[in-house]
Order: sequence, then C-alpha cells, then structure tokens
Amino acid sequence: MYLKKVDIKHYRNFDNAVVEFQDGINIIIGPNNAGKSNLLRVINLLDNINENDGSIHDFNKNDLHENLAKYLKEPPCIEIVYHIEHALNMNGFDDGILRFKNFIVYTADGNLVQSGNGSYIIDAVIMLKYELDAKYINDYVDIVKNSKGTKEFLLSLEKLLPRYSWNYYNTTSQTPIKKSEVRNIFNIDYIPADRKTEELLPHTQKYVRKKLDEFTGKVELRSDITQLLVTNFSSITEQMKQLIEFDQGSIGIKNGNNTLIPSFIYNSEFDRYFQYVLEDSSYGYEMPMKNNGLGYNNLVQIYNIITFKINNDYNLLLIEEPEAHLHPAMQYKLFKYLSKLKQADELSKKRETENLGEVSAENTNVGRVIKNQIFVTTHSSNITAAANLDDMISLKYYRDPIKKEHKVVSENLKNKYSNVKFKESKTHLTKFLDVTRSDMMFAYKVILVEGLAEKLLMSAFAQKCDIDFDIEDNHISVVEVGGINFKHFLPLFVGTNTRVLCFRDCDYKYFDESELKYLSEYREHLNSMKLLGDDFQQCTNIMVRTQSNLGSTFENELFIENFENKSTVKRLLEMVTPETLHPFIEAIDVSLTEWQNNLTSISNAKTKKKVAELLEPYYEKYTSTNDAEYQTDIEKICFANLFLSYAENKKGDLALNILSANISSDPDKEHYLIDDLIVPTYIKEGLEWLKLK
Amino acid sequence: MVEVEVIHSSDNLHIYNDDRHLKIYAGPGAGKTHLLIENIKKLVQHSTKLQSGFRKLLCITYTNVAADEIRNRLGTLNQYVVVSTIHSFLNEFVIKPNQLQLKEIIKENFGLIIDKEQKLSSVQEGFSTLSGHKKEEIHQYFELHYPEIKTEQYLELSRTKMTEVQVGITSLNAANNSANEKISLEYDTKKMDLTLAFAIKDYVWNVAGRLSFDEILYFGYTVLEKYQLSTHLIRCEFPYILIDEYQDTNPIQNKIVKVLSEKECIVTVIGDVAQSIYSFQGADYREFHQFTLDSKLPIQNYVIKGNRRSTQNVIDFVNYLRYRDKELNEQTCEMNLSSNEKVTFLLQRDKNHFGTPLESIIDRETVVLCRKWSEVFKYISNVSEDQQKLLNDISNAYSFVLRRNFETELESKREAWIKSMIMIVELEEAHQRRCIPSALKVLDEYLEINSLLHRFTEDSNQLLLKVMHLWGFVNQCVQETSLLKDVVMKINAEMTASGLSIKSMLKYPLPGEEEYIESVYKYIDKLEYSSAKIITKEIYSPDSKYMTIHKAKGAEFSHVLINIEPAPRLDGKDCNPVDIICDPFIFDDGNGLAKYEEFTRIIYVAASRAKDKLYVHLQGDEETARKIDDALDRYCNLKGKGKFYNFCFC
Repeated sequence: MYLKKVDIKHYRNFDNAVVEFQDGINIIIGPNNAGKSNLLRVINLLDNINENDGSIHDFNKNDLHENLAKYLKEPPCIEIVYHIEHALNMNGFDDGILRFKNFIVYTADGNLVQSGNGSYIIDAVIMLKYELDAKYINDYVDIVKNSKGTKEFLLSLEKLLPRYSWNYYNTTSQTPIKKSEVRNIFNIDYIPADRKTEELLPHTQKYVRKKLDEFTGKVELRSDITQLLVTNFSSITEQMKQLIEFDQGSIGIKNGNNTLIPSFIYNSEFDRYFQYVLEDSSYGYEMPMKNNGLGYNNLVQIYNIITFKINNDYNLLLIEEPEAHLHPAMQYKLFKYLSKLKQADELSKKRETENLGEVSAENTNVGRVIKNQIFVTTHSSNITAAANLDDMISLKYYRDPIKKEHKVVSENLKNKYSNVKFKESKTHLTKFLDVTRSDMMFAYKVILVEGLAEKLLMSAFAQKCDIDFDIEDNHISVVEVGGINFKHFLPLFVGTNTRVLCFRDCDYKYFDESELKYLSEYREHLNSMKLLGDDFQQCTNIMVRTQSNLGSTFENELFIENFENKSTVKRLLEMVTPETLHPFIEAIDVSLTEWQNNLTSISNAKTKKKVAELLEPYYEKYTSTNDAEYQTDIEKICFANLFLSYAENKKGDLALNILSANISSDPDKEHYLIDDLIVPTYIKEGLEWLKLK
Repeated sequence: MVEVEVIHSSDNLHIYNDDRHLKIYAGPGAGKTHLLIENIKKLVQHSTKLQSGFRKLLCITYTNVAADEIRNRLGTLNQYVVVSTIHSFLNEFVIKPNQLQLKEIIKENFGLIIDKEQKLSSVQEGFSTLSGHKKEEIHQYFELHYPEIKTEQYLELSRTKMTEVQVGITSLNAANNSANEKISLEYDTKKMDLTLAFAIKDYVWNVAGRLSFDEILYFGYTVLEKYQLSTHLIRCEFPYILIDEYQDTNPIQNKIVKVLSEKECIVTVIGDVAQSIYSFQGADYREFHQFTLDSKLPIQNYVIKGNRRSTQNVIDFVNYLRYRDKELNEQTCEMNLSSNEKVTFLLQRDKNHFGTPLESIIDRETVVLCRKWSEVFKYISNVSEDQQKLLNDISNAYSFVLRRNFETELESKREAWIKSMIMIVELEEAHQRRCIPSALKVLDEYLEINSLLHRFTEDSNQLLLKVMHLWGFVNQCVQETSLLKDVVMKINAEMTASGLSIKSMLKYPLPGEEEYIESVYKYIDKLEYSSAKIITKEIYSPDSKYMTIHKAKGAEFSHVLINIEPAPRLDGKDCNPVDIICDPFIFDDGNGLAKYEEFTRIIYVAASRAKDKLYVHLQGDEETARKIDDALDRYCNLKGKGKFYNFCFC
C-alpha cells in the first residue's frame, strides 16, 4: 500500500497541481520556494491534523487575488485528493486493506482491476477539504461582499476562519469520514527541517519507549534500583530518621497511625535515560552527543529514523532536508545509503511478486525491505550524484503575474527517461551527473556549454546582454557537458517550462588534406548541421546555437568577432602565447603579410618554427587570390586558429585571465579584457532568447 | 452417527488453534452465553490473528436483545468483537459498503436502475419499507414514471399490500438451491400484476431506499457470492465467526457462512435443534443438524449436557420431551439442586371458565408463557363475565380471522386500537400522579408541543394551558364514558376543537376505513375502557408477567406457567396437546409430523424456561390426567426415576 498521487487545489503555492509518487523512496528536489515543504505538509495532513490547523496563509493567495470576484460570492476552499494504491492478494489476509476499506474505488460495474499476476490493484481515494461550515455561507457573503481588493478581502476572510474546518470525504459517496478512520490508514512520521539536533528526536524516543514497553522486567528493575539507593544511602536515611524521630510524637504525627520513614524510591520512566554516547575509536573515551557537531548529529538522527521505521508497515516517513548541516561528502553518503536501500528493496519486491499466490503463514513476514514509503525533500545537488534518478520528483514553481499565471509543476524524472529511445541517454546521464552538473535540476533556466571557458565567461556575457544571473527568478544554471553530447541531458527538459539553451561548436574543418578549403564550404557545413535531434524538434523551450562567423569553436569565434579591435586581439594572443613571442606581437600589426615578413624577428627558434608552420597554409591561399574580402577572411581565420592552437589545454586559464587579469597600463586603475570584448553573435542571440519569459 | 465430545460450559475450546470449525450442541440452560463469553475472552487473549487492531471477532445472535446481553457481558472486550444479528451485520458490512455492487445486481436481476445518489439500506425494526411515505407520493411517482399503469390499478391498493412486494427468497431458501436460479418478486397476484409490482419495488428501492429483511439476506448473500473483494474484506476483518442459535438459522444465512468459511474464517456454531421454533420465518433446524462447510478444515462436534438452570424435575420433563433425540437426549442438573417442586399439570375442566381461580393455585411471581398474545387475554382476570367473554371472542377472532403475523403486530403495539388504548391509560396514570412531563411526553406524539416549550410567549402560554386542559379532559372523560371506542372519539373531537396544532389524531378504525376489519372490530367496539385499562396494565406494563414463548426464548424465570392449549391451526386429530405430551416428537424423522414436531419444540422451549417450578396448563379432566400419567410413568420406569410431576384441576 502506498500513496500514489495527490491532487492539490488552492493550498499554499499549489493552486492546481498533481504530484505522483512511487512505492519506496521519493526524493523531492527543487529550488527554494518551489513548494517542497508544502508538499510534505500535504502528505502529513493525512495523519496529523489539529482542529486549530489552518490559517489564512494556507489558501493560495494568487488564486484569491485573481478570482476575487468569484470569492466575494462563494467562500474559498482548499481541496486535496489522496490516491492510495494497494496490491491485493486474495490469498493473504493481512489487515492492510481494512485500513482503507471504506475508500475503495471500484470500476463502474463494481469490480476491481486485476493485474497480471493474479493480484488485484486496489485504488482508494480520500478527499480533504478546508471549508467553511455551510451554515455560515450567508454570514460569509455579508462579511466579504464589500471588500475592496485582496488585502481587505483577506482581512474579512480571516474573521471567518473559526468557522473553517478540515474535513475528510469519501469521493464515491461524497459523505464525510471520521478523522480517526483516515488516521488509521497510515502512520506518518514527519521530521521537519527545524529539528533539534542536539537532542534525540521524539520519534527515536518513541521507538525506545515502545521497546521498553515490550521489556518485562521493568517493575523488578525499579525495585532493584530502589534497593540499591536504599542500601547505598542508608547512612543518610539513618541520619534523617534520627533527626525527625523525637519530634514526631510531639507534633502528633504518630497519633495518626503513621510513622514517617525517610527513604529513597526510584520511580522514573526509563526512556528518559536513553541516549547515544560517542566513543572515541582510538582512545576509548566517551563524549555525549551534545558535544558533537551539528551535522554529524543530524546524520545520526536521520539514520536512526530511517532504520527504525523502515520495517514498519503502512508508515510514511517524511524527512525535510536531511542534508541540513551536513558536509557535502556526508550528504553524498546519506543519499548513497538511501539508494542502497532502494536496490535491496527492488530485489525483495521482485522476490515477492514471484512468490505471489503461495503465501502461507510462514512467508508472510518475509516481505519487502522497505515496507514504508519515504519522502525526502532536498535542494542539495549532491543527491543527484548519489541517489537514483528514478526516485526523484522535481518540483518547480512558475509565476507570471503579467499573464496571471502561477503553477507548481511536478515531474517524476523516472518518466523522463521511460522512453526506450532515451535508454542510452539515461546511462550516460547517471554516469556524468556530478554535483556541479546536478545543479541544472534545480534551475528555471539552463545553459549547456561544451567547455570550461564558455562556462566561466557566460555570467559576464550575460551581464553584457543585460541578464542578471543572480536573481532568484532567473536561477540560471550553466552546465559544462564536456565530452558527452548534450542530447543526453535534454530528455530532462522535454515538456517542461525550463528554457534550455545549448551552445555547441560547429567543429568546421578548415583543411582538406592540408589545403585550406574555400570558405563557401563553411556556410554549407553550417547548413548541413543538424543542431537538434528529432526528439526535441518540437520543444520550444530548447534552443541550440553554434558559431556563424567562420569560427569552429567558442575560442576562435570569440577571436574572429573581436578581430577589428587590434589591441584586444593582441591582448588575447598574449594571454595564450609564450612570453618570447610578446615583443613580436607588440611590435607589428596583426596582419598576415606583416607576420610572414617579420618571422625572422622572433627570437625563440622553436616558436619561430611553430608560428611559421601555422601561417604557411593560410599564406599560400592568401597570396594566390586577388579577392580582398577572401583575403580578409583568410587572415581572420589564420590568426583565430593560431590563437586556438595556443589556447588549447589552457582554455580555463584563458577565461580566468579575460575576467580577472588587470590589463591596465596604469597600476592604480583596473581594466579587464572582458570590458572590451564583444560577445560573440551566436552567444548573444542565444542569451537574448533566454531572456524572454 | 457423528462423533461428539462432551464439554462443560466453562471449557476453553481452543478456537484460536485455527485447525477446525466447531459445532456445539447446547440444550436449554446449558450456559451457552457463558461458553460464548469465555471463548471470546480466550480468543482475544491467544489469537495471533486478532493482534492487529483492525481484525475482529464476529458474534452473530438471533435477536437484538441477545446481542445487547452479550455486549453487556463482554464489557471492555467489546472493542475486539462485533456482536450483531445477521441482518444488522449484512446491512452494515455488506449492503452499505457495496452500494455500487448492490445496484449492479438489482439492474441485472430485476432490470431496475437505482439512482447513483440513493443509498439502500435495511428497513428499521418496527417500521415498514414504506413508513413515512404517503400514498399520494407513491401514486405521483407511478403517474410520472409508469404512465402505462392505469390509476385504478393502484388507487385502492393499501400500503401494507405494497410493502408485501418482496424479492422471493423461498426458492433460494430451499436448502440445496444455487444462486443461479432465477429470482423473482413475490406479491399478491390477486391485487396486482407484475408491472405494478415492479413499479412498487422501484419506488421502495429508488425513493424510500429501504430493503426488507428478506432482501437484506438475499442481497447480502448475492453480493458476497458475486464480488470477491467484499467476501475478502469480511474474511480479513473477521477471522472468527461465532453464531448462536444456529438452529433458527435461515438457509441463506447458512449459505453466507459457507461462502465465508471457504478460506481464512473459523466458524463456530452453537445451537439446539430442539429449540428451533422459527420455521415461519424460514428457519430450518436441519441447517444445524446437517451442518457442513466448504472448507478444507474439519468440523468438530461438541455437546454440553449440563443444565445450570432448572431443577431435576423440570429437567426430567424436558428430557422426556426430547427422548427421541440422538445427540442430546439427557441433560443433567448442575446447579439447581435444592428445590424439589414437581412439574404440575393444570387441567382445566371447563373450556370457558376456571373452576378454581388461578391465583389461588399458582405463585404470584409466575410468568405466563403463551404461544400467541391473543391467548394471553384468557388469563386476564378482574373483569366482568361479559367482558371476559368478549376478550375471548377478540382473541379467537385474531386467531381465526387474522392469521398472518398478527402476534408481531400486537406485540409491537402497531394495532391502532391498542396504541390509542395505551396512550389514554398512560395519560390517566400521569394525571393520578400529577406528572406533567409524562403527560407531555405522551401528548407530544399527537400535538405540536416541543415548539411551545422552546420560548415563553403569551401565545405559547395560552396554547400550553389548552394542552393542560385537554389532559384534564381525558381524565374526566375516562371516568364518565364506558366504551373505549367512545373515549377515543371524544378525545379526538376535543383535540380538534382545542385549536392546538395536531400531529396525529388517536387512531381507531371506523366502518368503511381500510383498517376496519369487521369480524374483529365488531368485538373490539364493545370493549369497555375499564377492561382495556386492565389489559394494558397487565400486558404492557414493564413488569408484565405475560410473554410469548418466542419472545421468552433465551430468558429464564423462577416460576413458569405454559399454555399449550389450544392449537387451533393444527389438525386437531394429529396435534392434540395431550397427544403431544403423551408421545412427543421433537423432530420429523420423515414421519410427516412437521407441524407436530414444531409444536413439541415450542412446548420444549417454554418448559425449559422454568428454573424452580413449572405449570403446564391444558384442558382436560381425570381421564386426561390418567393418559398423561401412563405415558410419563412409562418413561420414569424406563429411566428408573420417581415421578417428577403431579396434577391439579381448575
């Protein structure tokens, strides 16, 4: 039995959302304010609901604002529908199904859906409403009808909150259900983010208490301790006794058939004495948990909860941000642990299905490894590196006040790669998703680039294009995909609102057998390129850009686009070439003929040889034509590729130098090359697209 | 012959071993309830299946009274047990949760589409499936939905006739029938045709939303048989099913038990074939006699021979009545060893008069058990000879004219004149005690009083004064008027004149009205109020000493007088009470004594209610006494016993 789906209407930032879950582990990921904690609260409402729960802030205020006219006539109502699924084996008679027997949803003819292996899939649906007592509808209309604007309306609504209550309903019969009946379905443990880490969690305490309840010798132990106290402190009691002895008679205590006897009585609950002690593994000394680091304690607590609860049937475990206070390495371990559990569970699940139909008294207890369902929220990108992609549910909150649109979108990453076509991509992705790359799962906009240089420079380029990377709204993630094709990442974004901008190199080959090709072939190459795979052609949220000004990679394109500015070009060349070449660069113009004619002035023989070799094929073509325009292009490409070949292996350094090397001749002033650089057209166009809402 | 192990009512039967079903023969006074309670305790303590808070033990009793009794005795154990009659159980656990399935069955078997929103459930006890629905509403429904039916076909039709239209379960009840047999509606073919019968059923189900008791059984069984999940849920929830009074079980109930016991459920049935007296409701003791289940587990038989209730003499008499029984022909006295009172046969010489007043013979505490309420009238004393004769006539009129189910009508006070009679007597009594709340409680059923009490206004004060006045009038009236009928008429006239808002008038059928049955009311019309008052006090007071045998089932009393005279419905020759006493047949062993045997069992049930002293009231003289003495003496000799009986003439 597990919680399969929730439909949420008008609750907090969920105006109208559907979130699907799976049996076992669910890791809910998403940026801040996406609604992760609210989602956990939604689940928690299945078990823990108080009369006083519910506030004006539980309503979706966007909805109240946009539909104010409607709500002046009818009261707003929060509606949550829970879908539970249970695989029923008619030969087993455990009490699972009894927990929700009154909420079973049948097919139209009163039957059940039978699954392949002889068991039945049973659906149960429960609706929870936060609604106004129908008796007060007229009062409601009276109170809110004159509200001007949302603010006034909210104030009026607040007056009626005492008349609001949370009620469960059977969706088939539309009849109210007793709260106790719903609470019986799942036992929910909710571990909020603001937990105390220096003490035992109440859940652990409860577990210890339960174990103590099962322990039979409690009464005897108490009496033994009392005896110990009495024996050890007998001298004290003896003194006390003497002290009060002669007075008793005189004030009349003895007259009442009683005598006062000083004594020690142990009468305490044992669970309060339970605690974890840390033992130093080398020297063996002990230390209380309190003195331990926050993060480490947190890990102990979370680990405790998971292990204690894992074997409990019909238990939902909700953990908010387990990574709190944890070092990334520890986070990695925690999620690795969850992922290992998951694997073991998959195995046991398989075993269970195979044994189905021959359940006997002996093997009913050999069930799943994870009997409960675990929900974990996180915004740690470490998890993606460690946890299973299939367990992740991504939540994102989109708002557009202008279009009056707001919605929470949930996506089960499992579904993203369920298509067989993407099987290979999934394998790649799981291999290459490390902490930095995982960041894209939390972003509203993503830029995929091939190399480190683009990644480093992108923020500066964006600034030049008037996009602020840092604003929450923009939460843009730049991910360097390196060697692997970005198509493996794209399924993640199919059908979402996340804008994905990919910059890929056109990788044009300038030479045919060491002879420089006619540049018209560059156009042909661009035209023949298929920038985006068929599977993504229809996705308007995915855009691919590549070089278009004779460059084949980011670096040489950047160079070409800035070629007119000779001093910038010289700076760029100096950043990648050996120092011995710098006087040469400074001395003459960046011109093919100039360089060719002055080669001899290069001091270093090795460098001289290299430069000569690099220039040679271009110069040949250059001299064999009279077309001035063609000559200019050859010149550009020549220097761009010279730059590229020197930049090879130090692209990261180049980017850092562009950003942070002070090139000002005046030491008191700061001047960086990035300030002079023109953003390559293809990048600029891409960023302009990304800027769109 | 089946193997039967003798047990004691305190024994732990280890039901929780889950390795067999149990069938327990337990005679009267055997301590069945004690056995039930003890074993429920043991089950709750030991069963691993009941450790889950969701799984419970199901205990089915025959009456709500018995269910209450068991619940009271279970105390805190109630949280682990559902105690219920088969009807309430089916209603709560099968009918109500499976509405969709129920409607599907109705559609398939009867072609009626029941509205999605309508909720079908059992009719409440003491009400009919059409209670609260006016004839006009029903007629309107017919006009709207069944225009093809001519108005005159139903215009004269009484609601009683309409409620009689039911799913016929007789064929399903025939022991070896399967559910596949076509089930149809049963109705009075003289009063209506099939189309109208369906229209009526359509109204009852679709508008009133009520199922009759037979229909609860039928649909309960059909749902369980057809829908696996509903059966599975019951099996999950109730791993143990204990059923009391199984001899009175309906064959459908037996089928339900069979379905459930196929898997998981452990069934325990307790009963006494000799106490099966509900054949008129479809019960068949053979269901217990030949109890089988479709289960892999065996059924183990037990018998409790001890009798913890009666004296040896009473036990001797009841043993005598069932001496032909094979499983339990001899109970032994376990507790009541002190009293030596013999069983007394009271022989009444004159059919219409007591020669000696009964009070002078029998103890004041003696409870009188009759087969029917109408027979009780014969024991009403302190009325004039004319009125005594009149009561006899009324009683005979009910027996001979209104055969069908009249006892239950009378018992539930639904007969109009009885209801009015009780109301007037209560008002008069309240007046004597000057008790305003009692009076208001009685009057509230007839007048709009509650609203007057809500808020004090001058108007309501005036109206309340009028109520008080009416009350005074009733008291005045009963002093001055002799006939019950006239009292009712006068009160009704006064009520109408008072200007109070009236909920309902006192009911008393007049010639020409639907409820007026001439052959009965020609006597009732002559009933004096003073006699009516005596009847009411004797029969309907909470400490009434009169009771029907059916109602007394399961109860016990120190002193009991049983009336086994006459048995007018039975063939006089074969079923003379004296003959039964002289040659009791507790079962029909294929000797064609079907009526005879049930009557024997009724005597058996009645006689076994007595703890200390039993009177058997018959008509007869010395000759009768001699016959009886011969028969019983033979039995005593055979068993080597002294005489446990004597005779007394009255």
